[in-house]
Amino acid sequence: MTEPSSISAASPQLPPTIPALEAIGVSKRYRRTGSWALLDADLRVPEGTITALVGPNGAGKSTLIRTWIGFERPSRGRVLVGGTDPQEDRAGAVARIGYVSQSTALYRGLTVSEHITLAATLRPSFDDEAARGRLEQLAIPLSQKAGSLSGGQAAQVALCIALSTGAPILLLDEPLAALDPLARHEFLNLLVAAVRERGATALLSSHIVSDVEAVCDQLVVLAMGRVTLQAPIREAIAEHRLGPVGPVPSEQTVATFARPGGEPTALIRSADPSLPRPSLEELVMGYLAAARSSAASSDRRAA
Amino acid sequence: MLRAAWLTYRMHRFEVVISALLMAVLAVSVLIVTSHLTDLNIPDTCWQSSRDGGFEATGCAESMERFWDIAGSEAGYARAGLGLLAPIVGLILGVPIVAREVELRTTSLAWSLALHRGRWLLSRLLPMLALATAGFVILGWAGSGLFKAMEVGPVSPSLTEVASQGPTLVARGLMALGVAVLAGAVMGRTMPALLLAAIAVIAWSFFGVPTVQQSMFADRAVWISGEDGWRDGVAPIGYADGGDFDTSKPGVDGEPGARFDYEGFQLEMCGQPPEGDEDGESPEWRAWQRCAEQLPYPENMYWNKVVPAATYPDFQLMELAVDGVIGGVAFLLTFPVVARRRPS
Repeated sequence: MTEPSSISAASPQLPPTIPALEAIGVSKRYRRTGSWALLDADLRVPEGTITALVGPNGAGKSTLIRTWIGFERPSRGRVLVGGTDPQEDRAGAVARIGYVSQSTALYRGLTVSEHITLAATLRPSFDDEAARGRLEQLAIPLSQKAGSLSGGQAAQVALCIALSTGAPILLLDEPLAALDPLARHEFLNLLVAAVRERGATALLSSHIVSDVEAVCDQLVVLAMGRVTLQAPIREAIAEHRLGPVGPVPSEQTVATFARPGGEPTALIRSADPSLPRPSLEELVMGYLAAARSSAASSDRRAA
Repeated sequence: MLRAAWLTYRMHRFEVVISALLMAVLAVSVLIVTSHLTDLNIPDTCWQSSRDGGFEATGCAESMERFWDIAGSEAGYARAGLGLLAPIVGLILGVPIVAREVELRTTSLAWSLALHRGRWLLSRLLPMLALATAGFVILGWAGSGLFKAMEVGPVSPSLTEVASQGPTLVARGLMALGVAVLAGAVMGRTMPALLLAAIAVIAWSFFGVPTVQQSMFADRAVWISGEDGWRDGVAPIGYADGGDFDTSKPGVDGEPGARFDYEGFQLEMCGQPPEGDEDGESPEWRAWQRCAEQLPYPENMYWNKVVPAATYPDFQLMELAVDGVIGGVAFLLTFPVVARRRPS
């Protein structure tokens, strides 16, 4: 089993060429509820990066990920996977993707080994031996039924299957949500090691910022269906500061929000060395507060 | 392909085991019942004597009593089982193919791995189709044997049992499977889909098929005199137009257009039956009964517009064709439904 402490810091960002994943003005409205899950979302995920897609529950993270794998059809706009639109060429898009769903639903009655066999029958490029090797390294018994695996083991099996597809892009839809801290650590270790080894691109969605901070090099904040921030994590932190809340917000103020102690703070677009840098969590909180405030203003205007 | 088939059976092992077991038990039971009937070795002379009115004197009584015992009990259950089991197995095997995966959310895994959902569906469908077809063919073969063993005597093929033997049994079962797969794909939940598919199959079997059969009657029905019955080899398998008298033919009185009054004829020839003897035990009653039974059937006493047994293959062909079309269309429609379906 991999040591939890071996999570590496984010690797240097690779130069963006063709974006691995792209969303162009994507909106998605669910007919049943009539609600908009995504609103004109624009996003480019550079190749070779590990990108954190963060946002609160209901922000549209899963919907966005599911449009790339072809599980959802955008109401407006389009998504591209390595330049391929899954609505036009689903097979072409799916072939580039290894996907771990939010529920990591496995076939309860099948053994882990049978899941590997199943994956090999469904995906021609699937590396059966590599999958079995990874699972043995993780000490997950191949003969064990999926129904009797722990949540962490099930997530690792799902990740091993996604990794062994050989797909250059990994879409991981909140795979950490149901895992305990140790299982989260092990999952992230496996992900980072595999992604770095293959130079793959990974998009990891989560509503827990601390989960992704150590492993991701890109950050996308999604709130209320809109992309409110998209930047390399280091740059984003370097370009923001925390400041006191003034009577009138300046143009540089992203938003004001309460820090964990309750102290009101302003997130400012600034590189002023005299002001403290925000943590990743504070950065995200600032942008989520900005989205909420913007939505409230829109509502007031509409009223 | 074999690995995919094995995994499909593993995923649906409960349905697979139950279906295989039910089909095996019924097939063996049908073969045993058939052997009981054929072991009686009733000669044609017995059947002939039976048609001519009474076989007691011919020495056939024991074996023929036994034949009717079996025909009315074990063979009856077996025939009912043959008619019911194929559609039931079709429903059991068909519904969970897509519905269970959608319900348990395993489609997220399967459809993210499969480059073509159509191929994924085929990899699930073909093993179930193979199992169902093999089972239905065995049941159909066993059913044909049973019906053949029963039709040595005066047992006409029954239109209500048209899908209880041979290729028609296979077609009805596969039709149910097709409808079940489609219902499962549309509903995405096992129990509601099972209910929907069962209603559709029952509606077709009990209302659709008889309606189509009735529409075929007009072209195939012939008028036969009641006294001919199946004696001339026109064993009726159905009655057309709901009437039993050809008003264009002359009745017993020589006048056309009148329904023959058989009871009136009995009263006219034998007088009033004795009163006050509900049990029919008195010598007077027995004498009246003998008289009534021995009345010669007058010419043109009644006419039936019947569908002769010789046209039975037409009805089997209809069943094959319509079941084939329904099942085939259901299978084909499942592919676009699965392609458009959103995994839960």
